Amino acid sequence: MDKLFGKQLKYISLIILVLGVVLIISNSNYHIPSNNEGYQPEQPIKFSHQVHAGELKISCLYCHFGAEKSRHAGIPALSICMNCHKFVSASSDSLNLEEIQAEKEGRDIKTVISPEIAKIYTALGYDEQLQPSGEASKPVEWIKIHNLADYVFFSHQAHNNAGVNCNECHGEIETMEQVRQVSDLSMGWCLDCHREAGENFDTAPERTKLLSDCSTCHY
Amino acid sequence: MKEKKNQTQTDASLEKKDVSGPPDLELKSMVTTRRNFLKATGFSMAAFLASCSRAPVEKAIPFLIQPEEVIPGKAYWYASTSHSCPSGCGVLVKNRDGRPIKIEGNPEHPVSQGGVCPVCQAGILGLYDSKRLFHPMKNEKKSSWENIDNAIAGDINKAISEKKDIVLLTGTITSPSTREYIQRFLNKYKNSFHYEYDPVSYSAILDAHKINYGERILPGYKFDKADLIISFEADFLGTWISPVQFTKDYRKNRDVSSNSISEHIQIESRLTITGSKADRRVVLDPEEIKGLIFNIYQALTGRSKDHIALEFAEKLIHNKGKSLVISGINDVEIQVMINRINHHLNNTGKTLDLNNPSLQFKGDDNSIEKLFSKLENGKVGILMIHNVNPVYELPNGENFAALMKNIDTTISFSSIMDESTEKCSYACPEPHYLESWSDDEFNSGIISMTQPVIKMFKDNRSFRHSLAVWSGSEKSDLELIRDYWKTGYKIRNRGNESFNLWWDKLVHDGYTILKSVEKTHGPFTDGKIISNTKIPARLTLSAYPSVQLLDGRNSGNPWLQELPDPITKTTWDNFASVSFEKAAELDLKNGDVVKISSGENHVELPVHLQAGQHNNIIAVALGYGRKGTERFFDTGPKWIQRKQSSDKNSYVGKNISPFLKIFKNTLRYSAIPVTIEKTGKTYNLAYTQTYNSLVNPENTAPATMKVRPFVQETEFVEYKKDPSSGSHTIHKLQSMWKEDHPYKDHHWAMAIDLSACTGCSACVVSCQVENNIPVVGRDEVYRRREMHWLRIDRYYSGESSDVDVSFQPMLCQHCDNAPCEPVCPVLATVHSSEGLSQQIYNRCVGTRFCANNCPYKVRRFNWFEYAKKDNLENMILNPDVTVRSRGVMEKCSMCIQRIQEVKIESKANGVKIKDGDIKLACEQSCPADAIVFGDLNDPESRISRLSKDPRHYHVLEELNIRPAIGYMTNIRNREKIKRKKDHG
Repeated sequence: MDKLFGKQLKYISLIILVLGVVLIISNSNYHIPSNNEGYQPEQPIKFSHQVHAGELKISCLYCHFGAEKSRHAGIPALSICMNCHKFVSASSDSLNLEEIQAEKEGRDIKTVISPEIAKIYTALGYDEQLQPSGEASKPVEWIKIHNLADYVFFSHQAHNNAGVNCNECHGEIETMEQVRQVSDLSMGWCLDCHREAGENFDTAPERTKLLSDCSTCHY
Repeated sequence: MKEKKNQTQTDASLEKKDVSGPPDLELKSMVTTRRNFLKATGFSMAAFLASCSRAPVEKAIPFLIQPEEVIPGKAYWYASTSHSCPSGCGVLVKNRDGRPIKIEGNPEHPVSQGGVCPVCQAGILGLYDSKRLFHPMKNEKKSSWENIDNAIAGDINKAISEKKDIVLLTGTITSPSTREYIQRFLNKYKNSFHYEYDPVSYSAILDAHKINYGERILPGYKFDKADLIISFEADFLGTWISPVQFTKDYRKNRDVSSNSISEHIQIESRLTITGSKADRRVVLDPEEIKGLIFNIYQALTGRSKDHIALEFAEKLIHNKGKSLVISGINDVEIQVMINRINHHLNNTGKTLDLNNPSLQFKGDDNSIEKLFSKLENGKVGILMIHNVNPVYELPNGENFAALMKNIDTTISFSSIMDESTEKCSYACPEPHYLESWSDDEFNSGIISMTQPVIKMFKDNRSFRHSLAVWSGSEKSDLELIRDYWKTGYKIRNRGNESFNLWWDKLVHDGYTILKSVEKTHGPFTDGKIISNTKIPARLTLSAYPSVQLLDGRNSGNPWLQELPDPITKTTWDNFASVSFEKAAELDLKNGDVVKISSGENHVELPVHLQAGQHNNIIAVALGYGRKGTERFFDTGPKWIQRKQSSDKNSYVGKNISPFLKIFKNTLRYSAIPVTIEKTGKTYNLAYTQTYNSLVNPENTAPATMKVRPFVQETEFVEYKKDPSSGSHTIHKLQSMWKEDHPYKDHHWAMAIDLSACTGCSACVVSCQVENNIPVVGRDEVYRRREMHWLRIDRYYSGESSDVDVSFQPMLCQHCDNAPCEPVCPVLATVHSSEGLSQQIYNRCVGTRFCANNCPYKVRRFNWFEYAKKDNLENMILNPDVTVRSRGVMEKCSMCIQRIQEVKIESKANGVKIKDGDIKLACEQSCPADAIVFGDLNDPESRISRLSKDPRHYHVLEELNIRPAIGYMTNIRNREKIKRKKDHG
């Protein structure tokens, strides 16, 4: 038993521990718990913010309407997708391609449905003609990217109405084919803005006032 | 040597492994070689690294079709009506992401006027009760409604062919549509009968009105119109008829800023919260009270010599037409005398409304005897039990259970497996009121609407619906109600709007006012002569509904079980309350178990010594010892020193109902002669407060500090002469802190009016629901580890039965110079820039220095992981408040989540926060409007005005820690100055 807790062993385990910690920090796959910066999971539907927000310039709030009224920005319901995708079943490129192809072959133009948009129809229980297919509807299970640390309350409404732009935290979403977490969502990162007013309270802009109280976020 | 031997054995077994299967594990585990150790270290390091990878993948699953106007994370409020007790308060139900999480009073509702009682607050937990009955059952086996309906149709036909009776036994039916469908059922089946009784009966008042006015009426009491209230044993601020409504009304005539306030005299045998608020309290036993009522009537008509009676009669004559005399004793003779007194004083039509009566209780105690004789004759073929639990509640419940066995078909509609349902052949469970429709007329002319705020969980069906189905209807519950009102509203509506408009408004508002169905009562007649027979003094039992459990229908609710009784401060038990003198006489101490006997009935209960109680009575709360409470056996943390308070299958408390008796056609709760004997056993009651007096023990304080001035009291006359009367001399305050609290934006503060607070404890439960406060169980409460952020301290002053009682809600005082803050080694509790003492759970390491340093003792420590694993019950949790885990300190946060919500909302709308926009949970629920919260930086706010009021003071002002919570001096309207010795 003396051997077991001998001096050498202590050193060995200490070295292993230090090595472990170094490994955690150096290896980009490992993070300090709850820091998920750079997280970019594959979603069940390949929804492109680059197309919708970038090319088509749909306002963020059109889909994430909760952001100005509620704590949660909200993942849009499929019924919101259907506002457009009732009529748009594929990209204009593939539609054009089909048109050319049909002309070449001298046949009627077929409905083209992109496989990703088809997933919306399946989830809602519709067939290609957008009629109930008889299959049960099944909600889409999106993967949540921006997970806040425990014990903190965050309100999109407060930030949105204080004039904080979506990009300030979420990055250049309109250029992202697949959404990636840009900020580390740590408390220090929050306080970078929240402490802006600092000592110059009276002259500070309204949006930064009184925001470094613990109970602003923790309750 | 030994070690070596082991080593070789191990080696041998390891070698053996290669040849013939697994090694001897037991032997292997006995030694740790260096190699094994390194292997283990390596493995745990790998596990550690693996756990440090990505956070677990979380899914976000949105709606398929977005419901209109629903925004995730936003709360919606629906108007409804509480059915947790028979008073029927109008409520608003907070619905967050599809589930109801909080009940608050509906300020527009004419009955409850924005207040709610603790029972109603806690009632929401019943919705998420996983022990509820969710399916119809036949002979305790799950069945379907189709099968049940067919079987019952067969049973009804059988009963009719055998010429047997069908009996509907219900509590008071307050829903006009249910009454209609009962009538249709009765019309369809000729041999059917409907009996109504109330577990807490008001039958005598109704019967007395039958004698005096020719009609069974429970009058509408107008406490706001009365300048003099004399109440005999009626706990109208606590449990009597409609306490929330009465508290609201009572307060209207108790505004100390006006020139006169009402005078309230309470004559009672046990201490109630109503007695505590009375300006004058006379302690008499129930027999003496009866005598006094007779004497007062005689004094009014000029024939009595009793000096108290003469004094009261003089006061009453002085307040003719503006006085109100009531009695809570269920004795027709007493109630007839009360009617005569009120009639003699011209109070009828002024402080008593017979034309718009209360319909909350219509039960007839006569029907109990009628039912028994029917059952004994064996003529009953079908018995349906709705909203009552006769086996538990009736004095002869055991007989009832025995007689039930002789009935072919017994049907219970109860949503819990109670004593009566257990004996029934069919269980047709009703839904919780938050998942069903109902229309109720609790007060004549006021229709209260109940709408579902969540889709029905499983397979329940309302009593109304079941009856209609068995009468041949195929309509849904909602259609049944709408059908009834389609004709009903035409007759009773005041205007001539369309039905759909009327209905939509009714559902939206939660109530509507219609013409009341005129109760044409006859002229007053004296009734038969009643003689007052004197009974010699004897030891009697008084059974009373407690503020928490009432008749026991909510006894399965852990919040109510853990809510301290406002007077005794006990939790999780009922007990035999005995006066100090009687206890000395019988040599009883607190916690001695006594055996109370009356005839064949015995019950063993722990003794609680109670000030302000008559020597001749033993008071025991109703509603305990009920089936369903055995579930609490396991409540509380499981740890090594945990004491099991009861056997595995025993109930919380003891049932006292067998002691009740039916005497002269009414159910008697008091004046039941009993004997009491010591058993030699002891039982520790779980108190939340054991310091009852503000007087410092002798030799522990300087002569100037005899009485600790936590509670300031004065008399109304004194107050009118000097508004600062009652307040103790302000100390010369010194501070070692700089004035460094600028409070540039808001400065939150609260004022609590001790004059208004009745101790009803609605705020305590409201706070518990709002802030996810756990229930810790009986043993932990006994160890002083209850978690309530808000407690109500109750202090006695005076001697033995003649005591004054003061209530003082005590919560985190949010001191400017908070003593808890500088002692925290990790800065987990710090001051906010708006005057709040913040507690940051994720920083807290649980040193408990702060709790130690808090002079108000309002900090609560999570000794254990209290969060439950019950997924259904956890749906009640408020998503805006953290669920605290083990080892964390917590305390009142001044509902910071509500402040934040209003701040964010008003900022978004670009408006300033108005006074009253932020209502804290405690403030909102208070039926007495005792709590005011607001911004001291707003000179127009109520709190700014109150903080400058001469009545305003701080508890422990001499510490100069400058609390944000102030109290207003308690003012009693009495002539006699009973000044306590104040300190200098």
